[in-house]
Parts: sequence; structure tokens; C-alpha cells
Amino acid sequence: MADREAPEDDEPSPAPLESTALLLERVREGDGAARERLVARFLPLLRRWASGRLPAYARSLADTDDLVQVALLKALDHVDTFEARREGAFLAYLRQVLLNSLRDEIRRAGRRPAEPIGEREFASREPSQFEQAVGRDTMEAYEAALERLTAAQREAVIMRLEFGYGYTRIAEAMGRGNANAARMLVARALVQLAAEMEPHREG
Amino acid sequence: MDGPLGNEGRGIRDMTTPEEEVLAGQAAKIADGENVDWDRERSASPTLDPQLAGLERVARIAGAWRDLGVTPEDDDEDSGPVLFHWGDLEAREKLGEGAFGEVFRAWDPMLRREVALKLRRDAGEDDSARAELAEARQLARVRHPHVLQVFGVDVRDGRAGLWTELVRGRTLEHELRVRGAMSADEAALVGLELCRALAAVHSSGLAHGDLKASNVMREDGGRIVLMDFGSVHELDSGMPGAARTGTPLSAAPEVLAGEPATAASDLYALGVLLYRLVTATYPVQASSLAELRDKLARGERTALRTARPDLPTAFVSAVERAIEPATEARWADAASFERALVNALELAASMAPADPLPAAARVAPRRRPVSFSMVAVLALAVIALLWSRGVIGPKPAALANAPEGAPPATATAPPVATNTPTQTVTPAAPATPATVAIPFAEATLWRSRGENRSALVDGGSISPGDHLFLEFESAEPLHVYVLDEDEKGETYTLFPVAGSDLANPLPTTARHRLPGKHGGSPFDWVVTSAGGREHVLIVASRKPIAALDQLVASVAAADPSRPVNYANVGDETFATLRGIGGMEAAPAAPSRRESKLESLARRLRANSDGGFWVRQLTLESR
Repeated sequence: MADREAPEDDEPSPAPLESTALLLERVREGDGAARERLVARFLPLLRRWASGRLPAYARSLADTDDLVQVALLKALDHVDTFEARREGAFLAYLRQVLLNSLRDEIRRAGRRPAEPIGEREFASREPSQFEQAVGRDTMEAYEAALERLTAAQREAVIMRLEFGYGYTRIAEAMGRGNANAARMLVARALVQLAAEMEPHREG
Repeated sequence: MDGPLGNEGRGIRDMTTPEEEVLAGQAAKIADGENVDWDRERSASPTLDPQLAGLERVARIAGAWRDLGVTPEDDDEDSGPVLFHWGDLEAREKLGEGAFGEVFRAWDPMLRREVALKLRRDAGEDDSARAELAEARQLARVRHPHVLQVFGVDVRDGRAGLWTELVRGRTLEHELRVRGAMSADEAALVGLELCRALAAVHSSGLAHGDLKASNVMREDGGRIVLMDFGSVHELDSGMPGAARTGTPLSAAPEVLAGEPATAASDLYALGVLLYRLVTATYPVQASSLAELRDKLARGERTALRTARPDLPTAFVSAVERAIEPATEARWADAASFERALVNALELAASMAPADPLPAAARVAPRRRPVSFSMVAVLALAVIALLWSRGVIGPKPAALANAPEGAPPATATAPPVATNTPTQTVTPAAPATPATVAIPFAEATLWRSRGENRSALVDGGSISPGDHLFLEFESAEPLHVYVLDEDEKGETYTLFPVAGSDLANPLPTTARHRLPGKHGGSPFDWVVTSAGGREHVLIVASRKPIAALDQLVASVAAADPSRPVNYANVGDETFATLRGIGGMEAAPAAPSRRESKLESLARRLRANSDGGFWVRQLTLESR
């Protein structure tokens, strides 16, 4: 197949975006600008993700933006402590940090001096949009099943289902050859996810 | 798709058993967002019932996530299936077809962006196809904001094609059909940008060859883009133009006579286009090529002055000269034509009715140089926007960091695409730009004074006499609310206001300048008093917000015909607002007294589910 014919021009062609892996590497080296670009890239995405996972009442008690920013900056502060050369791994780590923050926030919102209430009870009052859509049992089964997947499977599921990544970007993020390979990876991961959820099937 | 995995599922066939392949096929459909008839699938594969039931559950999870609409802003890749590959491009959707071939929306994984892919039906091996491809390669060298950018040309998989930027908008032909003839000013502004586009094309040694309303797009956001270079060719090629020109009524006489297209014939076509934009007709009308040639030979045409006696003379003269039958009588080049149009606009501006603040007429000459001269004064005390914390705005760093008096970056740059990673985060930044790019809208609050124009930032200052206006554009119709509150807690509505030509929902057809026009003339908010702090709240929503509509109705609104009476909004009203979406009491009170609008902004923001956004700006009025 013929090679792509680039326009003959003195000006450079539009450069592909800096990869997340490259930005992560620069953040590790202390590059503040790379850190800002990385935050700018992920902040809107995480904000939207969080809005679907945070119960409405909890959102009224804490600013989602703050929560997401804190989680993102926290993750970047620990960029040396985990294997995040792949965008998929970084996103999965970010998701976990954010999920933990959301849970903490829910717990904090739930505490009353005279009435200690558990997270589950609060969740039953005002579920998140995601929980409203699938039900609490399915949500819990899903989270538990995700934990039992391999790291690659988990990343593939998260990127595709939760963050809406296209296959080409998943392929890049996962170090796979092309979009079809990424699609294959996602499909296999979903089959495994379904199997891992089996013990939690609704009765 | 041809089977459970379709022709994209090749990679999954290495799974070991047919059952696993069935499951993977259904899983791939889930990942693609396709609907699956689970009852049918279970009937077809009864032994896989438990596994399919599990996948059905996973499908519900996938659907729930899809409904939340979480997608990367910098990833334009379509999640739908790939129709086919052409080289490394992934064709996603057919946009149209004709005798030449087909046009697709495609994904370019190298550029990581959507592109328009135009494919010939053949490999382009005949002479005319080879010539077209060679010319398209030349065109790929032209880089100009108002010229469709060509990314590449190639022959792949037995088909010749080229891929270009994908422009979303409407053709001028469509605008003509929908809106009718334009004003001279609006047509002249289009003409200016096309003159610049043609200058770039001609300086590359090319002629467009088929400039007409259907080949010019107004992109969502306002950028004028010269498209469809199907007839482009080298100026020195000597190739006859008539046979290749599809629009005789726009073609110069010499092209109709068989001579090649030139820079002069392009300028003629541009003249015809401008003529048509203001009249909706052609200077020479004919029902056949023979009749057209005959009329041209006899010099029969309807003078623009006759067709539109009301148009400014300078504009009429500029256009009439462009469509002179003799090439030597036309404008010498695109730059000359452009200067003539600029002069026409400036002359029109100078003859406009008296202007309370004449300097404002020169704020944005490329957009509305004339209409800006008719700024009506609104007796408002303030303004400011709000942008709350440190998440902010677009890379248009050039815009965000523009020095006072500098022209806005958006005046010359293509509109900020909603899918580009333009947001940056500066958590420690004390001041935030007044422009915020969000998935579906962009807004900038401007302050103009005399020749100077600057984007306002949170914490900025304003003074009596300052003109303020909000530029707003979005990719979808939005309901926009702009409110102001002074230090005393008096509140009024800045938008929507009665008498403005703009009303909710704001259409996506252009970058809007709020508060809009009154009686055909744009008006601004004008600062009329000094002292204290002003809070402005801007809310944009996909749906009307009933509580805000009630608030807007309950407080005084800006009125171009009289000073504004302030209204102190009662706590009861704000209590109602607190009920939006079931919001609860606010968390810990801030250290200084929180204005009602700040409180409202915080509550709206906390309750945002992506269907609306809220921005607040506090300014010092000095």
C-alpha cells in the first residue's frame, strides 16, 4: 500500500496530540507544563464521570469540580508509585482514586453525631445516576467483577464503557496494534466481566 | 455486519470454540453500542443461556454509561462501526455522492481527528483524473484559515481520493435559500474573507475555477471556508476551463469562451457571488449556454444598482468592477478587491447615524463594522462575569492572555473546536480568563472602550462608560440567562431582554453578541456608575430553567429605551431557586458575604449534570 502522501509544505503538518504516556513521563521528570496539560486533558472527562457516580445529595454538599481536581492532583502526586506508562493504567488509577474520594465524601456527608449511618444506607436514599440506571446489586456486582479482571481487561472495560474511548485510542493507550485488536480486547474483557458477575446475579 | 462480529471482528476468531466466538460477538456488539435482541440470541444458542444472560446484564451497564455521555473531548473518533478502511483512514459515514464518487466522514488515526474523505469511483488513471489528483496535491500546499485544508491525496486500494478537514456548517447557497438576500455589509464581510482565501490560492499558482455560493461554507461559529476545488487547476496549465466549470452563470465570459480559469476569472466569479448574495439573482440570467454567451457578447446584464437601488455606492462599484466583461477592467488582484470592500465598509460606517460612542464602531470591523456604529446605551450599572475557580479556559491562551487593546484571537483564528483539548487548569491562578470552553459552548465577556477591547477576567475592573458585551456560541441551541447584582443586592436581568432580536433558545447559526440588536442596531451594556463590586451570573442550559425564567420575570430588565430600575430580589425568590433539582442548603459559608448570585451560581454548579453550565464573575466598578 502506498504511503500516506503528506502535503508538501514548509509548515509542519498538524501534529498528533501528545500522548498521555509521553506527558506522564514528563510529569515524572518534573515538567510542570506537562502536568497542566495532563490535568487539562483529563479534568473534563473525570468531571463528567464523577457526575454520574456521585449521589445528588452528595453533590449538593461538595463541589464536584473540587473533588475531581483534588483526586486528579493526588494521582499525579503519586505518579511515581504505580505503573502508569500506559494511558489505560493511568485512567484506571485515576478512577480508583476518584471513586475512593467519592466514597469518602459520601461517608462524610452521612455522618451525623447522633445518627451514624453507613454508606449503603445513604446510597439507598439518593443513588447516583449510574446506580439508578442499573440498580445497586448490579452496580456492586460490576465493581466486584472489575476487581477480579486482569489489569488489561479492567482497563479495556473502563476506557470503553465508562469513559467512551474509541477503539483507536484504546489501542494506543493499551499498546495494541490497531482498533480491531482493541475491539477484540474489549469484547473478551466483557465476556470475562459477565462471567465474573455471575455469582452476583439478581435472583 | 456479516455475522456476529461483522467484518471488523476478524481478530476475535482466534478464540478457541464456536461458543466463545458467539459470546465474543455479542460482547463486541455491546462495546459498539448496538442493540441486541437477547431473547432471540438465547433461542438461537440455548446452551449459552447463562452466559448470554450475563452479557445482557453487562449490556445494561454499558447502556447506563453511554447515557451518561462520558467521552474524551480530544477524541473525535466515532464509536460506531467502521464502514471500510481506505489506507489507514476509517470511513465512518457516507455524507454524499455524485458522478465523481463519494464523500465520507472518516477518522484519521494519524491526525487523530475527523476528516472528510472524497473518493473517486476509480483509481484515477485517466488523464483528467491524474490532472485532478496532481492539482489536489498542489492545493494541499495552500494553508489559509478560509481555504479548506487538504491533508493528503493518494491512490489506495484501487481508488483515488483526497482527505480534507471536515467542516460543519451551511453553504452560502443554503443561507440564501433560507434567509434570502443579505445586506451589503454582510456580503462585503463574506467578500473580504473570500478575497483573502483567493489571494492564498492564487499565490500558490492555482485558480479555484468554480467559485459559487454552494462552494462556500459558513462553518458553525462563523468562519467562511472556500471549498470544493473540483475545478481547481494551475494558472499556467492552459487547460480550457469551460468544460470543467459547472456553473456557467458564475463563469467569466472568457472561461465560457473556452479559455482557462485564471485569477481574474475567479475574481469575476466572486463578484457574481457577492451580486447574488445581495440580490438572490445573477447579473446575467439565461436559460441556456447559448443565450448566456449571446447576452454576454451583447453586454446585457442587470446592473447591481438597478437590482438593489438601496445599496451603498462604494459596495456597488466594487462588485460591478469585479464583473466587468473585460479582464483588464476588473480588479487587478484579490488584494485590490479586498481593499475596495474594506473602503466600502468604512465609508458605510462613517455615514451611519450618530453614535453615542462612535469608537465602538471600530471594535470588530471584520464582523459588523457598520452595525457597531449604532450602539444603543443601556443604563446599567455594571457587569462582570464570573468564572469561579481555577479551572479555566481555552488554550486560546492568546485570547486569555491578550493585552488590553489587543484584537481577540477569535477574530482571526478558526473557532475553537469543542472537541479539542483547549482547557487548561491553573489551580493557583488568582484570576481566571473570562472565556471557558466547555463541551457545548464558549463565552467571552468583552469590555470595549474607544479603540481598546479586552476580555474581562474575574476580579477585573470596569469603569463608567465601558461598553460590555458577551460573545457566545455553542454547538447546540441553548437557553442563556445573564443576571447582575450590585453590592447592595439589587438585581436585574441583562439577558434575555425585551426588544432584543435575540431570544432563548439561542440558535447555533452564529457567534452571538449579547444582548443583541434593538431596532436593527446592536446594543451593549454600558457601565454608568462607579464604586462597589458587581456580580454577573451566566447560565446556559439545554432546557429552559423554570426558576430562572421566574427570576428574570420578577426583576427589572435592561431596556434600551429607558434607564433600569433596580429590583431587590426577595429571599423568597431565592428560596425557590434553591429548590432547583432538589438542592439542599449550602455548605459552610464563605468568609466574606456571599452575594445572592454567587450563592445561586454555586448551587447551580453543584447540581449541574452536564445539561447546563454556570459561570460567575465578580468585577470591581471604579
